[in-house]
Amino acid sequence: MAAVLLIDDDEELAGMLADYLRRDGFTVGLAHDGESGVRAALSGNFAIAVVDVMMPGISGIEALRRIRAGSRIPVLMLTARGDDMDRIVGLELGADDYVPKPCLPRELAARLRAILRRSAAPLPDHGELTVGPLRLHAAQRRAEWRGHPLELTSTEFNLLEVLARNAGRIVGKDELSTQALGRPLARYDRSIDVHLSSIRQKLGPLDDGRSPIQTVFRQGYQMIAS
Amino acid sequence: MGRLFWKFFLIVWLAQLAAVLATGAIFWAERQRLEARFAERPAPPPPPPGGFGARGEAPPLFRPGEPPFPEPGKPRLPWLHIVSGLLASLASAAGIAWYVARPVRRLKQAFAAASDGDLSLRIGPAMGRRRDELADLGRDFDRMSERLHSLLDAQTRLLHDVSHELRSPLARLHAAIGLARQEPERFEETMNRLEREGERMNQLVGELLTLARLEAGVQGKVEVFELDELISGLIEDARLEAAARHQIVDLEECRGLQLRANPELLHRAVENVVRNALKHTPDGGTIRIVSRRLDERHCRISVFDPGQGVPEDELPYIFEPFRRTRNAVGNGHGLGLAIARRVMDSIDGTITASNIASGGFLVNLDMPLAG
Repeated sequence: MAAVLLIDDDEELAGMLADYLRRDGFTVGLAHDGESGVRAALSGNFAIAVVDVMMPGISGIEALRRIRAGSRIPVLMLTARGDDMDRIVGLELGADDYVPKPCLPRELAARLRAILRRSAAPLPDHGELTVGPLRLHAAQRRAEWRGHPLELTSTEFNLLEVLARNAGRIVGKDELSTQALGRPLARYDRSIDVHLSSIRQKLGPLDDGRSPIQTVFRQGYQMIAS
Repeated sequence: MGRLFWKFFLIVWLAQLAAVLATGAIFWAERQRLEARFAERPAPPPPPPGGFGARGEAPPLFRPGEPPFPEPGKPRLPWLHIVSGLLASLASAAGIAWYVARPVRRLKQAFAAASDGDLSLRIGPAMGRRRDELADLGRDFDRMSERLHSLLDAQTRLLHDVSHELRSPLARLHAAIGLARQEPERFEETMNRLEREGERMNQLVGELLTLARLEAGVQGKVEVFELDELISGLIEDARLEAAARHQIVDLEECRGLQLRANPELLHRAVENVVRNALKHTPDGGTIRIVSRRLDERHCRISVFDPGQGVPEDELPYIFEPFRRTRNAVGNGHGLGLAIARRVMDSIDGTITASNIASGGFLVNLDMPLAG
């Protein structure tokens, strides 16, 4: 099954999590500091990386920045519970999702599966999808805006895809979360908003200056169908 | 302008007014007396023959029938004096009141800001080159808020570090529970793990409490005791611990040194330093503990380890809680040296650390002798 890279300075914890994940069917690689973690993540041997935010030396955030500079490998951040700053910065830098630490290994495995399922299996029977200047190639998980390829993380691609398939309709945050992140939305969870704001930045405005993705207050998001 | 200003203004002004009025009244009374004396005075004696009168001249000032001063019945008020005096007293009263009230107002604002949680306001610059009790008060306030600020910062950081530090064993607990659920047959191993993590948390909380007590200035029972006694107990434990990794603990002792401290706390301080040394010593390495008299009133315990030392830029921070250096080994919390420093502070001693050029790391604990 999928190869998971665990980057965490707590060797004992990483060892236990690795044990758990292996028995759960994953292949697991370990790195105990940011530098070797980044190298391993960029090696192409892993399908997903789990990065602990709090690490001595180069922090998890810095590691994520370096990984994103060279790869679109899905990244799951382990953040301290209640530390929103790390979480939001992580998502802005292109993390696919986060798990608060301490967490039960079961939860970690579930999140990993959710991300892997989304990034691995495109929806069948939809080859290409075009909404205005946006063109999505679901099979190759590629997106183009006005003919230029977009650099999207896998979570961003999923969100964009859900919105594009429902273009013209308001999609609730709950629905976006279950379909694109593979988990229900937690209370006060801003991940969807953070992901969408970074997607908006990558897309740019429509011809009339509006953003192609509109926020509908308290209801969700809507992609403008043109 | 605040009430204080108006109060000072009114008091100063009224005082000046009273002084002016009183002076005026005295002058007036004096004049009345003079006039009364003039009125009683008999007419001047007739000029002696051949005197003034002979020349047909009257005395130049006092002509008969004309009093020398205006008549008491219709006094002329000196308006010019009154108005200018009034203005001058108003101006000086206002000036004095302002001079006192202004710094008090600044202080009030700063206190209000501080009680709202903003400790960044400073009064010193507003006092300029003023040197008096009020200016001193302002500067004292600045010092106080600076100290509070740094204390609060330290507390916040400590809280943050504590929660992070507690989280690691908690995360391992969760992981262990997850593993146990997955493989119930690994019961024994899981239990050992849970026990270990529980013990770690217990240790962390214990160390934190010690640190908090020391910071609050609680020293416990202070007594006079021999340093040898403390070191011999310590060495035994250290050698036991060192044996597991074939390390050697070398001791060079100066006998007969007497200290006044809480023996338990001091033991802990030295033990933390020794443990730290052992932790950083490679297997089979030798650490050296030396005690000696520095001068009449001080002694020193030196602990040397042949480890790789601490990066120079991190040296100033190693005695702060939760500072773990880039070379940190093992699973300490970074509280041991912080506790040692607090203990040394509490007995007016010092603890210093330095890298040895030829390799290794040296910690010196200097403390005053009893008596």
